[in-house]
Amino acid sequence: MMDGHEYFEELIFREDSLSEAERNELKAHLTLCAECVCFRDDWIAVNTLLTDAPAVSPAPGFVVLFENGRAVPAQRRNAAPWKGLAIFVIGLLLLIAANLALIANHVWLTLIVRATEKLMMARLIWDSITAFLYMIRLPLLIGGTAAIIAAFIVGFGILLSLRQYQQSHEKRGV
Amino acid sequence: MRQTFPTEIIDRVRNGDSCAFAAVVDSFRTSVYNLCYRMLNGNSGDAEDAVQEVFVKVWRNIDKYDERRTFSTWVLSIATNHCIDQIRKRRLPTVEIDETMEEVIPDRIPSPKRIVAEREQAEQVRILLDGLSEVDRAIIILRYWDDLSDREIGSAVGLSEAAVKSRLFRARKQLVGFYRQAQEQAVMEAA
Repeated sequence: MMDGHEYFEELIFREDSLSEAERNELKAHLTLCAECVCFRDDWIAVNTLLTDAPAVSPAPGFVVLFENGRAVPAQRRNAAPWKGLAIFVIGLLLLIAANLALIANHVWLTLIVRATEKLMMARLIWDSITAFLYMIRLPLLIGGTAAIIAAFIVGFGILLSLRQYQQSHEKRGV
Repeated sequence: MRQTFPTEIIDRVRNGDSCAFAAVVDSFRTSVYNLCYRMLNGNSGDAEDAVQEVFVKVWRNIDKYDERRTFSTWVLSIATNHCIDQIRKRRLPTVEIDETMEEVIPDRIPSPKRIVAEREQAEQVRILLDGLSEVDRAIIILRYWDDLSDREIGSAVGLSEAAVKSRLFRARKQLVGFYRQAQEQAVMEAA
């Protein structure tokens, strides 16, 4: 939404291409409005600065620089199909490598899991044996002691019997 | 500008003729350089890099050029978009205009007084343009240095003709505002 000043500012910007009616309208407004007169003066200064500023050209050395640099796009253009192919091959190789790495990782993890399961099983058996031995430790001690004593008595009895038999045999011989 | 560029040269460039491409570069290097130089805060190094990149883009995308468009507008649209991208990627620091003043084509050997006046004017123009947004700056440059119509400017910056008119009005008004600020500052410094 343009206010009153903006309409005349727009006329000021295109003062060179105004119709006769617009020109008269602007002229009439400028006789009454000091603000727009000031705006017009400043715009003329800005416009002069812009229109008087020359187009800047590259330094003389730049032409040589660009002549050298001009080979770059040609090389890039020729290299473009190879670039695409190279990106595709590299991408494919990366994909295969990633898959192989995943498979190797899977195998390795499976082996670790299986080994862990075996160790856990061995641990369970060992714990069971330990618990069983702990339960029977007292009867085993008593039974063992009794067996040793019994073995000692039986052995002593056998030796004693053998000695008696030997003595009776010697008497008969004499 | 609105020059009609020979279609046979464009066709030759399409076929990979580097000599024809050299003719394209020769025809547009001042327009493109001026645009890049003024868009990129008057930094000649950045402008030179930008011009090279713009012509690389022209070479690469010549197959995409639609012959219904003016070739010069198409080239300037690539330059404009490239500069806008550059500005948005990195907010460029301001540089002294002095280092590049010798690159302005002189119409005669200037006197020291004239050199000082030209430097002051160039600095004023740089300050005015720096205050504008990237798109508005491009619109002003294309209007004042390349003499493009509103429609051609719209084609170059990707806006409708009405949007260009609106932005042109706003940009001119902003330029007056920046000019006033600069004048006030100069008066304060003098006092």
